[in-house]
Amino acid sequence: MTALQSIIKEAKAIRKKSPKMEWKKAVAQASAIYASKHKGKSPVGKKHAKKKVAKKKVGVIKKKAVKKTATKRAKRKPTEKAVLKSIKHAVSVQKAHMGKVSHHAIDRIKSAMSHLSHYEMAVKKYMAMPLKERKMHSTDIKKLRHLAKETKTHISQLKRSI
Amino acid sequence: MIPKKVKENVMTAIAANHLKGNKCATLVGKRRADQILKGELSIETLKRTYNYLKRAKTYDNKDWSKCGTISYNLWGGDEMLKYCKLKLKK
Repeated sequence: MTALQSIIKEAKAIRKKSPKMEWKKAVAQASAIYASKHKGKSPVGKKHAKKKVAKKKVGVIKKKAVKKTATKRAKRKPTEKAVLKSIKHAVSVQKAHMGKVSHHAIDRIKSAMSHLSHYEMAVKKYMAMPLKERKMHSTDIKKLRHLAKETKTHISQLKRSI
Repeated sequence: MIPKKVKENVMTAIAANHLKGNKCATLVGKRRADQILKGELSIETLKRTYNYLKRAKTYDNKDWSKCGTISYNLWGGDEMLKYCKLKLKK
């Protein structure tokens, strides 16, 4: 019998004793009883464990030895040379990728970015003003914020298209 | 009168959800389960449940460890779908 089945059975028994009790409370009590029966191990929030398949004895020792060496290799810190090599490789990959991207697309993104910075600066200027003046320009601020939001989405779409 | 099978579906779904730490289903689904157990269902709510069950039948795969099955059965499951159909025809 699974945990669910036994809890339902227990909850039904509890509800028979006190029929006015809510089902949720009965279930909570039943799960507590189930936990007490199973050495305090609550079944709540646990994932079902996968069944382990028995391994064959032949070749087990070899596998263990391989694993040990693998962990030793993983624990070693990479040398400075290796790190520099990986960085160089990353830079070259990036350059190669950027070479494939058309200049037109990059220009579009750059112009959108400049627009965005312009809008954000304008909003900052408005926000620095005292409250009375800010209220006077509230519609402008709203428009600028809306524009900034739209340009952000536009930029993200452009990046995706690349 | 709501059929017994519907109530049993809801009860098992509540228990299964409790086992998962109440993380499955929205507040609406949980509230609907309470309503079904208490028997407080108006025609409007019956319509909504029918629409939901029709749409959510694909989530149900009879595996009580899956959230789809739990949320589908919190609304009453297959039996509730039949019951709603009959009631709305009347």
